[in-house]
Amino acid sequence: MEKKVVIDMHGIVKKYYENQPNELEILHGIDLKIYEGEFVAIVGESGSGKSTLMNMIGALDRPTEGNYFLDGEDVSTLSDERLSEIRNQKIGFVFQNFCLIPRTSAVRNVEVPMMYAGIPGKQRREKALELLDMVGMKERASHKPNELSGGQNQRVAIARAMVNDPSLILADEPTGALDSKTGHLVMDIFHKLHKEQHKTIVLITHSQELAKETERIITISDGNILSDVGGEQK
Amino acid sequence: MNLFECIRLALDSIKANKLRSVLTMLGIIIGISSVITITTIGNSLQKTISSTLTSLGGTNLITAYVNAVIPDDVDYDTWEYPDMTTDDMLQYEDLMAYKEAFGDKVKSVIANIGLGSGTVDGEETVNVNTMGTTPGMLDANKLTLIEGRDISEKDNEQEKATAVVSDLFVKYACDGNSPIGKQISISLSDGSVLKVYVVGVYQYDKVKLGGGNTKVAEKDISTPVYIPFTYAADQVDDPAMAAIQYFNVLAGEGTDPTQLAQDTTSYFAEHKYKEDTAWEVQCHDMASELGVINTVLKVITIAISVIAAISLIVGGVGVMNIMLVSVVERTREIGIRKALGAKNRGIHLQFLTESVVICLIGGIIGILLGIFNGFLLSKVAVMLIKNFASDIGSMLTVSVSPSLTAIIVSVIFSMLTGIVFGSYPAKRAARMSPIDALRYE
Repeated sequence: MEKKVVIDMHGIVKKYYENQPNELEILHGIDLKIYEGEFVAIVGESGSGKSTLMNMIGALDRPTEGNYFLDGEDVSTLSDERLSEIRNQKIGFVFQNFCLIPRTSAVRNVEVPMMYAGIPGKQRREKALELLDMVGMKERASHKPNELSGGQNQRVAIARAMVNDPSLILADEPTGALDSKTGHLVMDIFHKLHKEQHKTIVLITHSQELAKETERIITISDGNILSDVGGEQK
Repeated sequence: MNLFECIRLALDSIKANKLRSVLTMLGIIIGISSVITITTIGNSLQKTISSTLTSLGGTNLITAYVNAVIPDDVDYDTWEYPDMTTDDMLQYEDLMAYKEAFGDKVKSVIANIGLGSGTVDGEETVNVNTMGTTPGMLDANKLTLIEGRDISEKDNEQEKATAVVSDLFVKYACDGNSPIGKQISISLSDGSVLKVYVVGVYQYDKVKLGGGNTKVAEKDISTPVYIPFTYAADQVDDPAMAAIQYFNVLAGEGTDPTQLAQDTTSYFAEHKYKEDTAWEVQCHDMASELGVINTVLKVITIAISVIAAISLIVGGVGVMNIMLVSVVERTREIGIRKALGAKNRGIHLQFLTESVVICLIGGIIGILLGIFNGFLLSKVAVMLIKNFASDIGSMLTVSVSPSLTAIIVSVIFSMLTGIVFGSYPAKRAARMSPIDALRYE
């Protein structure tokens, strides 16, 4: 059975300071296909271009050249407004430093993507509590980020990433700010999401160890894909 | 994301930064409250003055006097005020003819002859001030008749020896017994004695009768005794004494006093002063004088309000300053929101709403504070007047009322301040790139 392609990149090039003397090419033409239900790790040293690649995948930025189809839609030429909608609907972000809105309770943080999606208040609250329950944070729904530990915050962030049922969960060093024990707890949630809900997860990390937990490891070096190991349909 | 969400976010953010929000609002609070304070005081003053003047003379009272005509091309270095002879003044008959000519438009014409002070030997000896008057004197002075009747037209026509006395007169000269129908003898300062019959008693009012020395004991106050004008005219030897230079007119029901004042001047110009063109009757009516006072007060209020409104601009700059700081401080929040799907428009609306809400809350607090201050200052002002000028103070009818227009304008103005000074910071927030904003530490 042909699996659905979630990420389909063709010759992605990203240049900064384009046409200026200090022009800087970070990605030199990336071709990448990620299928539905895959758990992929993108590994690379710092400066390898993996962060830039993640910005591309996350539709936070547009490539200078090449095409990027996300869920079948070419997002490489979309307007800022449309990109916002794409991020809102199709991508669930999990960041290294959690990126929760300060002084705002966990449940309200989880509601934020639904608010921008225009979901009515009552429905939002229900869904947010449901997802907080899933990550085991329901009891602390009214706590603010500064009242929670790093691991707890990251779990709230995962609940938030799931809330609009995205096609893709994009996790950028999700355990980077956590100790190894809580890091494992967070990774367990990703594994659960992958196994039980068949979510497509892209994990960006510099840690080979973490990458080994996934099904497929893509190594980036100097703005090129160095190796791509473990994918079923490579 | 709709406006309601934005307002909720704004309120959350204000709550999360209480001290900063209050400090930001302070400029707006001070600006709005000073505008409201000033307009409240102005409004109250206007109402107090107009109600006081109305209670004193009424807006249908016209003051008229014979005055020299000043030529159009007057040169004050050489022009001299002409000597007024008895012929230049008005006679009782002139006024009666005038009243006749105007019919219902004129309720009464009031002129008087002062016969000077005197004494009456009753139970006790009391001081009086005898005054010949046409009917309507009590009316024009807003004095209350408590017994009997006022001097009538008939009294004047028949030159009757009647008199209206004050309640103080009754109290001391008659030991409180009704003097109606009784004869009294007034010994005037020139030695002559007037024998008149009392027909009415009015209530003495110090303020309405022009103050007087408040330190005099009640018993010794010289109160007016009104007798018919024509009867008084008979008592004086000098015809100049009986001539009228000054009189009052009470406009009839439904007559515009301002128009009547003009018509009065024209009437005398066409009759009495047709040949004698050096003189004319000049009129002032309470209504238009009240209008002038009100206009002056309004202009002063607006002028001071505009000055106070300048502080709103300062407040607005304060709001902009804080909002700019807030945008920088919340760069990461903006990045997160953008990553999670907020559009530029949404971020713009969020920050703009926050600034408007801050200004609006500040404006509302300012309005409440301003009304409170206005009440307080108006009360203090009245208290001071009553303490230092008890004569005027006692006749003040104070009504403190904030200006509704000023309140509505303030609400709109504070919202506008929020929009004007919030748009630049909001625009900066909206333009931030999500990647840069997320990286910002």
